[in-house]
Amino acid sequence: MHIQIKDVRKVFEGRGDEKVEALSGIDLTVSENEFVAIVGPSGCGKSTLLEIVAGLTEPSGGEVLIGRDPINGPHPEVGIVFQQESTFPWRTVLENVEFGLEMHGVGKKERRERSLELIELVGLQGFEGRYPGELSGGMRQRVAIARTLVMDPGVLLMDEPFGALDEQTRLILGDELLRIWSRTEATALFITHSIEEATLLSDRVVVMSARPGTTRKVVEVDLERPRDSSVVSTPEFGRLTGEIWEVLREESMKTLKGQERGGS
Amino acid sequence: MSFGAKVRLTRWAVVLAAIAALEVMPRIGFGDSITLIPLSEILPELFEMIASGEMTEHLLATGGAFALSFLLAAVTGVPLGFLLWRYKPLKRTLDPYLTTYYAIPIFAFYPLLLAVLGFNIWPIVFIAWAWAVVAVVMNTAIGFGEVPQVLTKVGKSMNLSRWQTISRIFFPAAVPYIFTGLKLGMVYSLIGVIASEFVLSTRGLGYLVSYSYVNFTTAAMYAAMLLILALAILLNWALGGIERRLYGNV
Ligand SMILES: Nc1ncnc2c1ncn2[C@@H]1O[C@H](COP(=O)(O)OP(=O)(O)O)[C@@H](O)[C@H]1O
Ligand SMILES: [Mg+2]
Repeated sequence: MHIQIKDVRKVFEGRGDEKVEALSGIDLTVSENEFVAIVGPSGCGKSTLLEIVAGLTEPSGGEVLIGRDPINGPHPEVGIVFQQESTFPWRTVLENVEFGLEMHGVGKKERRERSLELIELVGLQGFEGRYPGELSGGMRQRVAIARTLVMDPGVLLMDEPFGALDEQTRLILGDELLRIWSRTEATALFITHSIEEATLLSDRVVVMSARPGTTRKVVEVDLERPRDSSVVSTPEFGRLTGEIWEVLREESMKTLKGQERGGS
Repeated sequence: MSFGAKVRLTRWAVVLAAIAALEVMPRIGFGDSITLIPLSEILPELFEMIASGEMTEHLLATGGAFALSFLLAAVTGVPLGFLLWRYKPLKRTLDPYLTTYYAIPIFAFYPLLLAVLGFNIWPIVFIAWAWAVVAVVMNTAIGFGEVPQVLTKVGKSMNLSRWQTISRIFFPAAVPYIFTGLKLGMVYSLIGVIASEFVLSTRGLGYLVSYSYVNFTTAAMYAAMLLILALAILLNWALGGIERRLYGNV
């Protein structure tokens, strides 16, 4: 399933007359089974864009298509993993992963089977009976990923799923994500603030401008697949991250200067 | 010794010191022998009263009024708290009453309650319920309000129905707050029952305390107090156990 984002805009109506223009005309197409990463300075509208694609936020203009369906609410083929902690603390790992299937009336036996498979895929076997409170942050995010993947989405949206973790852990989980993604047939749109992570994972990296967000540059990542984090030390990888950083640096400076002037 | 072990040791030391003080103070002549008597005289009195069946009717009266008022507070308080969260105008309208609620000494209205409800168990149940229910209402409303937005987004992204969102996300996420409300409500309704029994009853542990006090049967008075204390601790512990069951171990 492919994603088409056509001239999507978003203006948040604040209190009183205050308006925040978060996105100003985003165009992006993600092909079937493609992995696209989005990087951009903080506050440029990345999460807003992803939630519009997920049908959780209404755009102020433009439209999003998933396959042939225009989006005006959550689409059953779209799964999303959020930036914030989103596991259910009152459910065990297994119960968390089973959640969506249970809500959609899938029988106990089938949902158990499918969930255990996903738990194994994300490397959490042995932790089925644990509660999220007993796991590390990285493990909890893997639970959230499994909970989304168990629904077998044609489109997988991820909003900085490893954003709270350090760079080394992130690259190692990136390896795992590559392995997991290669087993699914999902089209992936992945948000990160890490250039390395974006380059390691994706077929294309989209660099967004400072707010109001637009697509500033698209970098093709022609590194061979299957890959793993050992590509990080190749000259080709360095050239790509350098190219991305050049643009991102400029945009991040704009954001910083804006903040120094007292705007936000 | 580990920090945890030190903490546990200190806790027990406090209890033991209190017991020792209660035992020793009357013996060295602190306070008069009518108001303060050693624990070693209270405990046999308590067991004697339980064994003879004298305590049974008081325990049943207090237990019944408490169970009734607490149950009522729970089954009315949780839905009311939910409504308060769900319908913002309702919350805005009632807010000033709710925030000043515990400033009102409900106990002072007992003559009115006697006139309206009669000299029976109901004035007691009403006071205890009224004292407890608002704690349940407030904590429930807060609990629903504190559910992280991202959890509701998870539900929305999975196309949950409104009812599923409330029963499978909001409610379980609010459970820790609801339990805080129930624990407070439990303590409040016990206080409500005991305090009401001082004046509104001829039975019950509260009545026993005040009756024994007036009649200088000090050992019986302390026996009743000890039983009240034991009851409160037991109830709190039981509710804590249920909470841990429902919510894993966080
Ligand atoms: N619900 C909202 N109401 C008002 N402003 C919002 C809302 N959500 C996001 N914003 C604003 O929109 C901008 C983009 O936010 P976001 O998409 O979260 O950025 P990013 O994920 O790139 O850091 C920010 O300035 C943020 O403050
Ligand atoms: Mg974000």
